[in-house]
Amino acid sequence: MNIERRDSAGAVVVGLDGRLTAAVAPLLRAEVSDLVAAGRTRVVVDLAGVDFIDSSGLGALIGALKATRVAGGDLRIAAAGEQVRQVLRLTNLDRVLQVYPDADGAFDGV
Amino acid sequence: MTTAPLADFDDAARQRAIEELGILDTPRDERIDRVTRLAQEMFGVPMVSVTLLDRERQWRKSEIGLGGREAPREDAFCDFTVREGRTVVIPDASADELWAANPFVEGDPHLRFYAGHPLLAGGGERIGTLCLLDTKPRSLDEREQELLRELAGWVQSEILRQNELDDAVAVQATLRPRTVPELPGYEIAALTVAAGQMSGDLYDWYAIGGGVRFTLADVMGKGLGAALLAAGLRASLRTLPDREVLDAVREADRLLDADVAELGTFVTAFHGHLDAGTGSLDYVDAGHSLGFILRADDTWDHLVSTGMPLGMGLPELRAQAHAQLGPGDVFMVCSDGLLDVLDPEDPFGQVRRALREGGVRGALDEAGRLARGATATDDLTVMVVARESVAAQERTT
Repeated sequence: MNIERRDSAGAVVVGLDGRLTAAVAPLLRAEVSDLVAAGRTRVVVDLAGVDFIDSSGLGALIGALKATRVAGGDLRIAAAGEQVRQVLRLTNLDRVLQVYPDADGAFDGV
Repeated sequence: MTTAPLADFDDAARQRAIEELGILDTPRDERIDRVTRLAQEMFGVPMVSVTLLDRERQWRKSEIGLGGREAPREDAFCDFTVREGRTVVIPDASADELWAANPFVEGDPHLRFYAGHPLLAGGGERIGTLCLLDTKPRSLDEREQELLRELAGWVQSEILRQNELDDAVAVQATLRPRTVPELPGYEIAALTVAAGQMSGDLYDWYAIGGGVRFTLADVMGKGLGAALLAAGLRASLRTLPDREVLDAVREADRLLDADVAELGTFVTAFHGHLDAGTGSLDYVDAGHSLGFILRADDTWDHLVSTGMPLGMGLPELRAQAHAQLGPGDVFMVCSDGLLDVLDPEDPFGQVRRALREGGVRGALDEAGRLARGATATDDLTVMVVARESVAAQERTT
């Protein structure tokens, strides 16, 4: 799994690909924690390249969400595929992690 | 006889310690074999052994080049090292007056070089050695001796860690229900299979006030850490056994939030109360979404999940939901490990056939076979509560 970081209007986009599982979860958490420490508290996680997420991956997303909110920002997810959406729906976590269609538009109008 | 007992060695303590570890005559362990392979590679010797001492024999948990796992203890180098309690290096046994006449030196396998370091049990008892052997003389400089001690320490911690884990597995087993509540007109059963040795799945039940209170929960991740959280959750949900299921879940959530907020972990759970007389089922589903009822007419109802998982550290209004279990209905809740082993084309059909053809017990047996047959990557737990059909009730009355 690669983690890519790029700037977008008013936010940082963290792009992932492959499987978001226990092996990758700590990397994502560390990445977002670095961003928050650097004052970048608006984060979009671009899931366009992620074809599978498990509970550890969800845990990393939630951990990252909390880290940004504690620092006064927010974390949003974009372009999630069907499996990711299904897991979010089943766990009711879609209520805190809404999926935005496009990473660059996730913070529009904020 | 060159290895007369030294006065300060307590052989009875050694025997107690090795028996308590329960390691003698167990299968090979890859984690320890890895260290012996590494030792052979690092020292370039033909023989390496993790030797443990029993009453009259030495038994090898791991060995390379020795061709057997057992040998007499009498006259053994390792017995000497254990008694001495220090690193023993014998560069050339045939030139050493203490060892030249030793049967392992004079006779087969004609050992010349020996180096060993003692292994200690949890209470400091010396129970065996990690040792290097060669049929050619050689030396071991101070740096190499230090390396041997490091590797012995590694073997020792692997042995003790396995022992702790075995204890933990036994404790977790005792925390599972050992009896099934007597509920006239109902059949209740569960199955759980861990992916590794410890499970992050939890199931529990107890009879209360003419009904049964039950829980199925899945802690994120698996293994020892998840199992610790599962045990804590079980205790929390069991506190004040007759309170509303909603109150129990709210309190468990609050405790988990306080405990695990920093870990980025969470728990999905189904916690419910079934009233036996009416078949009324009150439940709280915390992000679990894997509760179902197979109706008497073979249709499925999915019990809607009403909340986010526990321990999220996010504000959450929880709600209790309700379902009705009629005669001939079967309630089932599982962890997502079951989904991994079911036929992805028709999971509901597969479960329905298993329940209708094999009954509750037969269906769980089949789930167990599937779980153990697959290369399980997740813990798997299933709980089933079946209400007798009207016909069955009439037969028994």
